[in-house]
Amino acid sequence: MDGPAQKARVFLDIARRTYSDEIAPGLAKEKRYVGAMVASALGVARRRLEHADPAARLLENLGASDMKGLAKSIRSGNVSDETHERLADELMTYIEAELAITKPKFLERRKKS
Amino acid sequence: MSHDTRPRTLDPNNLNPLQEWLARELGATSVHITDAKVLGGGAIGENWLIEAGVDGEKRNWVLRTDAASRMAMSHDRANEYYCLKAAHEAGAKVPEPIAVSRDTSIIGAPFMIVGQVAGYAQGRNMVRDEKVMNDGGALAGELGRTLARIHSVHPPGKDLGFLELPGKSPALVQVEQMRANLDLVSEPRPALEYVLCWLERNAPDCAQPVLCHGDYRTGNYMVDGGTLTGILDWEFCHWGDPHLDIGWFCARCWRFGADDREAGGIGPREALYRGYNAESQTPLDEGMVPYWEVLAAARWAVVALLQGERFITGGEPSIELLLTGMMAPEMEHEALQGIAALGG
Repeated sequence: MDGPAQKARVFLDIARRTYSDEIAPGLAKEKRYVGAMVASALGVARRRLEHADPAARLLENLGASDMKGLAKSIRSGNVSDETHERLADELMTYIEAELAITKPKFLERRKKS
Repeated sequence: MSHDTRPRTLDPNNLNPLQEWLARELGATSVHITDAKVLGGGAIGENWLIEAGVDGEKRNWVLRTDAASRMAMSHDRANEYYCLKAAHEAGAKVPEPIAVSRDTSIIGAPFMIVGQVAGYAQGRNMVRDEKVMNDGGALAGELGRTLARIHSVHPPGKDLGFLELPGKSPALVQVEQMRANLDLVSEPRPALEYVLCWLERNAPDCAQPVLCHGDYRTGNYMVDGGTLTGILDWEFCHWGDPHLDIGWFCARCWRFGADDREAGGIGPREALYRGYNAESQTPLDEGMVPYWEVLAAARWAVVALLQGERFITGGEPSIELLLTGMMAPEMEHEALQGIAALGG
């Protein structure tokens, strides 16, 4: 990881820890939901720095150059199950990689159920 | 004291125009509003709790104003009112329709008034309500029966001329609407595009469109003491396939974490189906429901993305909007799994 990303990680980690240890416990009941959203946003930012970009892998595996073009090609039928046998699997892998960043608990829960 | 300083439409110190209009509408000698409290407001419009005397008889109402900014596919309050009224006349358990006006000279905005119903609606509380959990599927059955009554309304319906007939498979109409909305979203969504293509290829015909609620789910109905008291939020009503409401109700995204209770997190889906079939002239085609659950996941993904877009390009710096937009991958995952389970 490069220098700026490492610095961003340090800031995010201390912000999240300070928030959890010193602010969240004292939040009024009606502010707890907002507090949980703040903690969640910090967690997403942290994981975004940690994980490789899921879109890059999807594009590489499907031989596409950009997400906008890929989305357009799927809608028009130029990219489909017929042209790309593993299309559904690749899309699922991409979505799961996104969820590992945005909502890791969702995947854990789904694997248990 | 409230710190909310947003301007309100209804002025509790100037209720005469509303009282006089209501007296004319209700054919009463006098309507006297004794109390008016705002329940909430902002982008989704305002809700006022109103206590009134109609020729001396006490009435409790909810007055809802038009939303300042509403989604393109949603109705204004007046049209929402006529949908609710049609369902009420069909015997569905809904708040009693009282009056509606598009005239902005009365309180400064279009509005509708309905009877107040007892209870609460919050989904997260509903799926933890012990009375509901231990009812053996009674609430799910009741929701099935009342949905069948809503679906007993067929085109053209009374005062429902503003609702367009689908003219083709209602599922295809849904796909078109979702694509049009997806075009308003700046971030490309290849997985959702794939899901929409699948929905298009597999779109079922619908011999007889019915009045669909369009947002029939836990969180949009009131329950008091474990019993259904009224279906809320009629702004997405349309002529469509009855299975849309069933699929939306059962979709995992509306179970509020109570995934094992497949009917909206509050009961077994069989109870919902049984209630529906006991009341409906046309039994459900249960085999169709998984398709409509895939469509439900796609539809919620699009709504979430539109909400997120209000943050990304709409200049609304709300963390809730941003995080709502980020829910789309959950729905895309749900839809892709649903497609795989149906054989791709």
